[in-house]
Amino acid sequence: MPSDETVITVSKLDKVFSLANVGAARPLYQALGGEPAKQRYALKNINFDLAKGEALGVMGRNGSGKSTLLKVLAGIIEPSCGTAVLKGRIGSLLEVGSGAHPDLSGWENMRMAARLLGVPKSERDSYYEKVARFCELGSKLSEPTRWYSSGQFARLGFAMAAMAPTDILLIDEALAAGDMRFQLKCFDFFYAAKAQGRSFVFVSHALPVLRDLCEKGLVLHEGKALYNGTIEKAVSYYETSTAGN
Amino acid sequence: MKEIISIRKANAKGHIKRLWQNREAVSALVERQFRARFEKPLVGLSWMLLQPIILALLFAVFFGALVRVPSGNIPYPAFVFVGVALWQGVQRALSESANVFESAAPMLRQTSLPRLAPVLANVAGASIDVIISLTVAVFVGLLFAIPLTLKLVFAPLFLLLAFLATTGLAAALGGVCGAWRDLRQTIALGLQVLMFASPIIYPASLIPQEYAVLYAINPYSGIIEGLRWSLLGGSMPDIGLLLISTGSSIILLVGGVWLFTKLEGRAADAL
Repeated sequence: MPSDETVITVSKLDKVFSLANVGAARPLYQALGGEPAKQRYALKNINFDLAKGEALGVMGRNGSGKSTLLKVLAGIIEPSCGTAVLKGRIGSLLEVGSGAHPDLSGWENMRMAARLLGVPKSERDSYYEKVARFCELGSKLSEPTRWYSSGQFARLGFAMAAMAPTDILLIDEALAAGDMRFQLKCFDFFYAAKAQGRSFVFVSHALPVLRDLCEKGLVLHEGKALYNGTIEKAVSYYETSTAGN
Repeated sequence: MKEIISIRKANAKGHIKRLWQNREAVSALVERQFRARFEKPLVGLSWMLLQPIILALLFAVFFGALVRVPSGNIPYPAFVFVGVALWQGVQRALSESANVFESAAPMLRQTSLPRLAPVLANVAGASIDVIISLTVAVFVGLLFAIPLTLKLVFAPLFLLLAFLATTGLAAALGGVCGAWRDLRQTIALGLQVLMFASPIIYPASLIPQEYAVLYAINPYSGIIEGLRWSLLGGSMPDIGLLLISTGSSIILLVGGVWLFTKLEGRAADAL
């Protein structure tokens, strides 16, 4: 249920990456009069805002800057210019499950995640219960996650990240997690979360999903926003323009 | 809760404030270090002790029995064990922290935890190793009929200094090696140099008087000499030199954390 309250305001956001090797030889080389490293804009002048309960679908080809945008919003990397203001608790489903520890059991990982993700003490018990119910791993949760299949591992990771109390969810192709049935369950979760008034920034190549879930659309191409508006127009723009082909 | 994301200036104060706000997450990371060591207590403990014991034994044979490095009134095996016990921990904390943008990458990609948190957890984890190995060092001393004295109360003070200096150095290395990853290849060599610059296999009294002040700038010189004095006795280290080591520990801590906050943005670009 979109409302008037703005939860994300992104203005004039740039991210520049230096194309030098990440080596100490470079500053030395430049100090001796060598040419500075080439730079590439991964994001250039990105602007958008998002209201509470709204979802933004971000599309673009590989390397267009989608993941960089999510990383900046999640606070993982810093922008080179511009600002992003996010109001509320941020949850990122960028690399699901990668934080889990292989030697700890599912339950222990859950307790660890609750502290790492800042789940308040009073909400811990219901968090564990929700994660356990969502990932459907049953007695497997008592085993070290080392012995999980990659799908089971992804299910636990998704559930741990998704069930944390958040107001804004940043999602990057997280739907690759688990089998068909679990993917459908993830969708149900997204719809339910949206109905509760949580906001989304959703990066996906699945256009029908974006069209169904999002109100707004952003088409990225080589770091620039080619189209920024309603999801219908963004998707049809993406399908016909060079950004998509 | 409102998060403003923009270009962050190197802001050590802000970073420490965020660490405090996320203290529960930091404690979870420290706890993970504990668990990794004591999940199977016997196995964990024997691995933890094997390294310092073998190393101290080697040093005792080569430098103690063959080269006959002077160690004052203290039998050389006990003498070297204290140095080795501390050094093992320092080495582990520093080499793990130099690699922190690689080893903690999965976590740093998933949460917006302050990036100093895994560095702190590394140093805290290594402190466990040090305390346990030092306990063994005391037993080695008892074997050679060196009684524990009340001087033991000073040991925590030297351990705290070691913690501060190592945290600073670990943060500096984490930032520098995260920003310029090829520098990690120099870590093993650098640690070796630092080891010979510290009184681990020899007593600080071997250093010529005119270099004593320069030598004391290495915080580990005062720390190890002090630890040895408080656990095994012997001559008390010079107070002036101890104060120099204390000062450089604090400068190392402040400078290291500042350098880390200055370089972490660059290092994070590769996450």
